[in-house]
Amino acid sequence: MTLSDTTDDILRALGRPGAAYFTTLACLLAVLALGIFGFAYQVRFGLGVAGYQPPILWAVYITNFVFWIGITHSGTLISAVLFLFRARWRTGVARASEAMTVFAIMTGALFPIIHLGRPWLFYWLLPFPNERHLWVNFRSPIIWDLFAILTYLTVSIIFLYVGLLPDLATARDKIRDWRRPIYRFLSLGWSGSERQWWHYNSLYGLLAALAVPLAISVHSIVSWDFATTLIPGWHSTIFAPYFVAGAIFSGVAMMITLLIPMRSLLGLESYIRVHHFENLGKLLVVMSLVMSYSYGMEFFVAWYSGNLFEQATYWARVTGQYAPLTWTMLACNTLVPLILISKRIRTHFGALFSVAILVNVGMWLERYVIVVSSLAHDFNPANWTSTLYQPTWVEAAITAGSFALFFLLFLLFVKLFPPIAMNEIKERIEVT
Amino acid sequence: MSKTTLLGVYRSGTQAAAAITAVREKQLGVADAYSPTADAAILGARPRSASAVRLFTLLGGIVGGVIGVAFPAYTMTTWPLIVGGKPPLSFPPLVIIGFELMMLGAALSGFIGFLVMSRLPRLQGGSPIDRRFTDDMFGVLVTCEIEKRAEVLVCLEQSGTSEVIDGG
Repeated sequence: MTLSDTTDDILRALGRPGAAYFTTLACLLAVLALGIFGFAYQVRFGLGVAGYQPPILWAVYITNFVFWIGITHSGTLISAVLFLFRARWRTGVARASEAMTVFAIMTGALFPIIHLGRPWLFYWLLPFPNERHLWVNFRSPIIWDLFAILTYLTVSIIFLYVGLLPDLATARDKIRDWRRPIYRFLSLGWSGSERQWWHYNSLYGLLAALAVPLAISVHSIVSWDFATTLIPGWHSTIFAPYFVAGAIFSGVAMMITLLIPMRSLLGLESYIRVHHFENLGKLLVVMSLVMSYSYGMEFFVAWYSGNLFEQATYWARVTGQYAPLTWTMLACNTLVPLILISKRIRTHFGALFSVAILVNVGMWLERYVIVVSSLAHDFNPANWTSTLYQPTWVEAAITAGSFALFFLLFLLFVKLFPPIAMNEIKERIEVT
Repeated sequence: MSKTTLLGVYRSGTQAAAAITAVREKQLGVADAYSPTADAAILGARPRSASAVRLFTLLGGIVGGVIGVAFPAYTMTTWPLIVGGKPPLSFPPLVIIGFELMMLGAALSGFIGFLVMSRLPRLQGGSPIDRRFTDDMFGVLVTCEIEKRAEVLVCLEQSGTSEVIDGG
């Protein structure tokens, strides 16, 4: 393989899309439109259409928020951590994972706004001078969330963009259609000079180093939305590491879910290879074991604490009305990934894809169980509603719309921008 | 004394690095390299001080961290409303906001530093010196005095150049 082959192969992926691409795009747009309709309906008729009932006043939207923020972590893990450890296999998948991070943050960040009773006043979350001298409450984890997510989004966009810069210049110099002015503008006049590469290397390493603690802080802060309350099932000191581990786990699963169709859709089989998936499969097994330990510790802490409310909440979780969801979640997250211990299964795309989908389902359910079942079993037995909370069609539509938005953004990205870091692949090619 | 430029085009970074080293050792002029990738041989061909991007990042982080602590502390003291029994000026939120803004400041400042140090953006006159240098070729652009042109040409050719373009 030559340097020129790499350029041609990867830029070929940006060629005219086929019918499958447009069909997928149309389906995603239709689902997104449904989600927008659901949100418009909620704005018109109020948050009551979301099916909230005391004491369950946080439900699907917060579940989605935590889920999507969790998905962001694989980008940082795969791209930044593996970069810092000089793991060569990252090059095939780093770009896609960085893009996934950005789009997952964008999608996740919508949910606190959707969850607001009056979403048009979301800007009240921002600390700005006003005539009544009111400031936001910096002691509230909701404000911590705002700062954490905006910071993470900004840093992730910079990380993605800096990595893209040399490849945008290549696209500018090779592609001769309507996209060229876009590449010219976005590549900022990059010429590949020694000076530029010197500072590029320095910045990319620094951003990778910044992104790792930032990612850990973001999901820790998301976990503190729960842990700083006194609700049994939420008020736990292990929540931060537990959420971070879950985030990495779900992020890797989503990465596999996206990469398997992407490589065949864009003809990138030579660059995203079996060993990439094998490594991701191994990562999934390791994180599944960490999650199994975390689940065990959750229940152990509840039992060992001697706190009756904690014990009752966890007992209700595995035997009460949410038990089917709890057991499904446990099976998806702790048992199913173990089949990837077998190399034969780990390297079989169909099996790996199925496991990744089940982990995605399991991780969404995990967030749902944490959010809803804890609220459904708080300190007041009168609140232990016998009526099972059911998400409404509005919540389902908005949730489906969020998935459509995420996949749509990803699909557009991989057709507009080089989906693999060409310059990093070229770095590994020996020129004779 | 009038100057001229010569551009050597190479197939590999190692050849380009050899040309840079030769021009530098013989003090024939200033050689700039262009490459489609961060080539280790080229970047190691001459001694360099650490990138100033690191300094930008450090300063941005310090400024962001200070703002992240000072601003919430200011708002807490100007609006000392007790919420949930917590003291108006409590330490943990300051750490969290301070940390986040430190990261934000560091990343933004590092990016700005990168643009400044790399002399970007060049939206108007910034077209690449040769389109091949973002694809599969490596270039060494030597700026030298006209009298040394022949010597530079020898250096470029001895390093295995596949083409030399006279910039005049």
